[in-house]
Amino acid sequence: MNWGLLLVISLILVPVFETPQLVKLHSPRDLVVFFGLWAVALASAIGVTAGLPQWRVLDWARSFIQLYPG
Amino acid sequence: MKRHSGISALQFFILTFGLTIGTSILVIPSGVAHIAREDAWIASLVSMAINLLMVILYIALARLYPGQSLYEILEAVTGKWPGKLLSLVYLFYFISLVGTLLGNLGFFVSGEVMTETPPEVVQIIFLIAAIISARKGIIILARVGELFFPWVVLLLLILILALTPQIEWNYIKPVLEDGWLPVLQAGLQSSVFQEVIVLMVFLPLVKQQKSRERAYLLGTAAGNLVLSAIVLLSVLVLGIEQTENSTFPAYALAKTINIGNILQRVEGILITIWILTYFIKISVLFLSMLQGLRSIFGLKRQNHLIYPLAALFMIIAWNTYINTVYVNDIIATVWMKFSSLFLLIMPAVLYLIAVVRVKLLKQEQPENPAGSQTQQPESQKSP
Amino acid sequence: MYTKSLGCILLLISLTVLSGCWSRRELNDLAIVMALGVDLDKDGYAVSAQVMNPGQAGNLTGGSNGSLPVVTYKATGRTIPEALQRMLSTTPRDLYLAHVRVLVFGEAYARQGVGDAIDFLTRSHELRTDFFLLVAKHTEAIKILDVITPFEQIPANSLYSSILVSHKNWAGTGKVTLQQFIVELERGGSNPIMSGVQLQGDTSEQGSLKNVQSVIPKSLIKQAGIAVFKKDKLIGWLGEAPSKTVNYVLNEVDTTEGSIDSPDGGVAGFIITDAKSRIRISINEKNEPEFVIQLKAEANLTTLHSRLDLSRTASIKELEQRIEEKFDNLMAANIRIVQEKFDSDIFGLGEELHRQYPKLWRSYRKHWDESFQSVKVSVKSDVAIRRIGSVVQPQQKEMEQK
Repeated sequence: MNWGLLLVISLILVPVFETPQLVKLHSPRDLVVFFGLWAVALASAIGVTAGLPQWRVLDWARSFIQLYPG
Repeated sequence: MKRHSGISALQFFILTFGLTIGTSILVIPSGVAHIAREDAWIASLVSMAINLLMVILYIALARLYPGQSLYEILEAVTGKWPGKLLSLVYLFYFISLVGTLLGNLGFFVSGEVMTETPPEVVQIIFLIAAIISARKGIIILARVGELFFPWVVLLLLILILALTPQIEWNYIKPVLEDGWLPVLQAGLQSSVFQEVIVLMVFLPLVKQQKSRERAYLLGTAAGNLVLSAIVLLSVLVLGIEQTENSTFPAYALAKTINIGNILQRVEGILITIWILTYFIKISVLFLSMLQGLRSIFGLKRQNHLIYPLAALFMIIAWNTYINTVYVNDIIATVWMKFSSLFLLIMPAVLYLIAVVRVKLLKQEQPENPAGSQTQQPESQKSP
Repeated sequence: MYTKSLGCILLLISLTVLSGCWSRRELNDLAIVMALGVDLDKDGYAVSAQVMNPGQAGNLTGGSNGSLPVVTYKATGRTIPEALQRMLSTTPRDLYLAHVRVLVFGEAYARQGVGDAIDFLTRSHELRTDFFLLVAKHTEAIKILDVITPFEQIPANSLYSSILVSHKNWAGTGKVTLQQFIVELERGGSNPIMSGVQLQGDTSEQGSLKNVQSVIPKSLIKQAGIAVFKKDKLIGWLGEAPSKTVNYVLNEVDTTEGSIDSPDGGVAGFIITDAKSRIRISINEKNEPEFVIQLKAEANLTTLHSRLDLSRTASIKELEQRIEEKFDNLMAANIRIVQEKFDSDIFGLGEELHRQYPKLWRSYRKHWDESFQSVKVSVKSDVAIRRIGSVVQPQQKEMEQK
């Protein structure tokens, strides 16, 4: 079962449901943040489906710590 | 039904209790036993002391800025833009937590309990539950916590009592064989697994200052006492060699329960406790992240962010918890420094800066003690 | 308004039937394994599994198709899980390991070292740690699993119960669970033991019903003393008396029967009703540890083949003293046998030293097995005879008076 594909499909459906309510708010910030987050999530989900190398959050944490020993 | 505009001290206590126990109950004993050996139980008491110190630090910080959540305090102390940046960094910390949490859940359930179910299914189902609780808001979650609490306590008591016939008191000896150093080291390392700072986001929701501070402290203490009890029982019943080598020592512990050959194979008790507290932890983290995004970007609503955030959680969970060996390696080498940065070092630095700003430079404190960005109007509108 | 609560109730009800349905294991798709046997094979492992046949379990005379209540399957493989999976080509159902009651190691395999088998046993999430471990004395595990036993329909249960009964009442055999074995194996100051099992009698028809169709069964499974291990390798066997000593020292005796010479030349039989032992350590002038096993026991008289006058308290005191002497000497002698014959501390003396004198233990830790051979161990027992039974004077004395 390809979980990435499931995520991609459900992510594509999300704005369909949420945008009408968002537009009613008349808040450009909300729209921007929502679509920004949505785009990041969609990009990662597509990355997972396509088998691209993923970001390893813990590896980032590890490299961050290694910059400041002790 | 009357809508309350805050959460009661008892509910806050329950949330803290649930958060402290959350994931730790399953995995703590092995790490502690590895360093402190037979004195693992003393080490977990040390861990409790360190956690209480952390909470005292957070309370002191909160007193300087009453009624403000963590993100607002960050902005107030360091200024608007550095504050927003720091909040983003904290969000990064929280999301890595959620990743390991979800991954842990998936691997535990599919590895030990339901082996043919792929871990992703378990994670998705749990995430759906977390989404529902995130849509409802923190106040509803606090009430749910109240519902869960008696069950968790009852099951914990049953677990502890049912294990007493298996105790071999000799397994604790010798006490303090290698002195205090390994105990302190182990205590420090395990104290960073209880991420109590998350509750700083919701502290202002409890109206009275004294009762919320007390609830915060008591919740942390109670949760840590439960963890210490589990560590103690682990050493007494399984012995240290097995405790440190198990991937899920509390589960191995629950498997040994056998009273009169009738009450046996009831490790479901432990799984129930764990699922309930875990649900609280993940919901609190989810809500605090939503709150954070709302604070940073000044949004009017936060519920629409739930779905993309949830999807992001899944993806990060798949990428953080690749397998147990990878995670154990990170935990042993990096996690303590990483976590203590957010739990101890940054708050301490913030507190010093805050003291300077408030006391010496007479920074103005906010007039509206309830804070303008807390979540309560939202929960009345969410579908 | 009602639809919401109705919906909730329906959801809750559906939870009960849907939970874990991806991982569902229907009961009639499972073959419940009651006993496992592990032997050596040229490729690796020869594993045998004694599986319960639920349709026949209550029916020892043979069911409609004459089959027995258990079936033992066997397979080989490079690792134990591989052998178990390969076994699935002969079993009609999936093997379910959570109800295993005993695990028998063949002697050849045990001598080579059971460590790798232990790794599988602990790593598996299906197996528990409360089943008994046994070593098949002078034979292979599969031969032990091949015997139909009288009384108990399922031989694995028979073996399990006989271990419990024999341990509780005879104390000349061992009762070692996987949990115990691992604890004693992995810590520094002790070496583990396992109980032994052997075949007794004419084994030509052990696997068929004919085995139990006579008043004296043709062959039986018998408990065979304690197997001594050094780390994870079997190094030898203990006879009945040393096995009892080991059980006394390890505080594993519930009740047992014994006999001593009575002061006037006859024999007195007694049953121990309670026995507790503690290990006390003292340090002598050369800074070496000396161990004293303190045994506190209560006994009842069961039979007296002599003319001893039991109306005098001095008689009881004499009997008590004789029992104590016997304990002290016999146990010390047996402990010395273990010390000299096997350089393996199965009594846990090292661990006791670790607990009471951790600093001294550090200097002994690396070479404890050699030091163990030369430490001084003595036994000091304190026996109290509580009851003498339903009659007072012994029969011989009664007969001579009339």
